Amino acid sequence: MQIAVASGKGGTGKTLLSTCLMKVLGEFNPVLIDTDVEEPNAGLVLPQQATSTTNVNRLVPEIDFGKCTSCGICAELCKFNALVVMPDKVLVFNELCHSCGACAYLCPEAAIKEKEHHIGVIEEAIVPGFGTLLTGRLTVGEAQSPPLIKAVKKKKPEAELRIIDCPPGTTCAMIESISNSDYCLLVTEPTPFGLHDLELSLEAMGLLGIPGGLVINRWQGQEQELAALSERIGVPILARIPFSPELARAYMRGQDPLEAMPELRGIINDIMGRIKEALS
Amino acid sequence: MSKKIAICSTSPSPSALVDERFGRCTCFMLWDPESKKLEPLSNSGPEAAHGAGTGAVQSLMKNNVGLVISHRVGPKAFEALQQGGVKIFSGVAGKTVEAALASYQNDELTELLAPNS
Repeated sequence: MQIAVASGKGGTGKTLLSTCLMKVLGEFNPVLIDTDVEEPNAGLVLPQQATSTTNVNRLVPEIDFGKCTSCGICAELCKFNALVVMPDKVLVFNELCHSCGACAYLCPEAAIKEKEHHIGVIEEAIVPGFGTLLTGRLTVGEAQSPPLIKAVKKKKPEAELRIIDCPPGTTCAMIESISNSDYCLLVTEPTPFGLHDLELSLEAMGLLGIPGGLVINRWQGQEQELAALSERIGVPILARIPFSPELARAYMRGQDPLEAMPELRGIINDIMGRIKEALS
Repeated sequence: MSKKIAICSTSPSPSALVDERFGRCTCFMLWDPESKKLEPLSNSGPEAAHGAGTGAVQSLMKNNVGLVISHRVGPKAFEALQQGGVKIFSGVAGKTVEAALASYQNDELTELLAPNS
């Protein structure tokens, strides 16, 4: 089973929930995949022993100026304006290229080859007693995370339980992270920002046809608008994690949230029960 | 054939205000030093999801532009313009297209030597 933990708004508690899911469900030897590759942080709050680092590349065009006639077809084809053709040269902007390969395939002079461009790494680590952590880490300055997210998600497909700690937002990175998941947990907070971004995330989740449920974090009793949204969209509220300065403090110190808030274990078990029910 | 001058504009008219953006300017006004006329050139930048700046440069290259008058230019567009041998002049915020062109012709504008957006 693959469970994506997403949010919309950042800082609502995706990593808190993902890492607690991993710990509570440690008996299934889960794989936690941190796809927030621009700033992966699950590794910051988990004890771990690094086992390997793998390079990830993507393809970008390389021009053979001996063959290029500056006809301009490649630049016309490119939907991302990654190529600029000048009378005497072709400029390639790797950070704009989406690695679709159309330029290389359709160049009439066969003057374009695709070459590997390093974009980041996948770090694999054992979290003793709880499973495996896979972290995607994008090289600073790289603009595109989806190819790296795709690569890190391809690892360990055989695992019985895969938990995806997704990036915030509803851009390509989030879509790539939640896609092909069996279930999507959307963590939100009872604030106008939380609500606003949750609506966008629900839309993305719905478009991908992934069943999901809401977890309200920092719950303080008020949830009228979230309850109304849940009702309207037909996505249930699975759990409420109470607001707790003690939990926040312990978490920031790198201590175990499950010790700082013992009832969290029960909340996580309830969430898993509801997910199994929804998928049965 | 002498090279044209492109001015970032907020609408296709010589009396329009200069658009402060380069890649995502509403359109360009091209000054042809031979015909002494300002003609509009559409820009796909405002609708582009990615690469508005490089796309605009490509379109200017195709239209024989050798000089750009723009308030701001980003790093990728700047590099592409530089590689294409296109000079950039700035200091035109708040001016009309005609006034910006006159300022350039009177040597009142400063050349942009690094991206400023």
